[in-house]
Amino acid sequence: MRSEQHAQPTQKREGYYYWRVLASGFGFAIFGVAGLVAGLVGIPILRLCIRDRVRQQAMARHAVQRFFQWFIRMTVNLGILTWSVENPAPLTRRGALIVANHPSLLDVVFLVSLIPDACCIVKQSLFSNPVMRGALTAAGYIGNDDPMQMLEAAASNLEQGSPVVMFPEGTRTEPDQAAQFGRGAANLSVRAQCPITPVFIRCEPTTLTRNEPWYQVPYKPMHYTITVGPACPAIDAAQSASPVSILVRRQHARVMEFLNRMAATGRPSPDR
Amino acid sequence: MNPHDITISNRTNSTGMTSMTSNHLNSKEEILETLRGILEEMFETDPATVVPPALLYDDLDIDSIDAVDLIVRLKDLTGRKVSPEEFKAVRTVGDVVAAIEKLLRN
Repeated sequence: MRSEQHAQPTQKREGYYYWRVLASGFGFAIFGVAGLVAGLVGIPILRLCIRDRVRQQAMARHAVQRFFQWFIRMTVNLGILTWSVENPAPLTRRGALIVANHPSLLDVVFLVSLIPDACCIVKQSLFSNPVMRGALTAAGYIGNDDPMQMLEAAASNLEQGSPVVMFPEGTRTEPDQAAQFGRGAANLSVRAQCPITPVFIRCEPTTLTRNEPWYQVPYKPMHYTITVGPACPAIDAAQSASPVSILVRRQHARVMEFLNRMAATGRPSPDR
Repeated sequence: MNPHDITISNRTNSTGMTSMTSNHLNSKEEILETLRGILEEMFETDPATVVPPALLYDDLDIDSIDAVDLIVRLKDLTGRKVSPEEFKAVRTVGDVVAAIEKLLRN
């Protein structure tokens, strides 16, 4: 896989390259406009029509999911990408804690499109982005600046049955760099006693990574493979003599084992 | 325990391994030695790596949530109230030692 990434610049361009440059630009524009329209028109109308905060949030999350589903269909129809998902059933379980790697800009779009009532943990700076702010707030997404507040807010979502989606790499990974995975999700799992559903996202050829301009489309249409791994059961802190911080490290190691195995072998479990 | 309670529990103090009282923490060296024990017990940190210039996050893999747990532990150790604000500027092992020393003096 790595060698294929390095070979990318010399690969022959195929699949209507310049059309895809145009279509990708169009996709970015749609996304920006949709965010602005949602924030300036959609959310105020939603607030006026529905007073109940809980229902407001449910409606906003539903709208985000439907928009992301539509957006992905559009990118497929435009010939920008194809995608497939393996074993999606655990994603729709109530109160699932979903933890994924973060190779590209569309990762959250794919996951949220597959998960009803999803609550995402997002980079705090996105809350100061005028295009995103309205929708993020209405959907009750959680910023990551204060870790303890983040854990509490996420735990209360899990308790109410909303799946929580986290990208512990924090920021999109450079293709050739080892990911720095934070232990926030493992902390949430141990402290809220919730199993982790690990997800590996592969995008070939790599694209929309950090520091890559929008017009830098890959030499051929990209293919996303989303693999849902076997659940990592919660470690019961009450049954263990070890401090919580050690249990968190153990749970974190399990998630990393799955993600590293997927990256290295493409197989979700050792016996398959 | 409510399964969804977020508790910063600290069961390490019951093991008694490093539950020194403040009278044993008279010098910087003694504080550092105690801190080594605590970090090993809480985060499986190799004591040899716990030296004053070591960065908590970059060198010792102690993240912001670990730091909150550590603050709770230090509260037990020193018997003083430790505010997270006082720990905002803490970056290195040396900073932690200095913070504990300050807590004990006040």
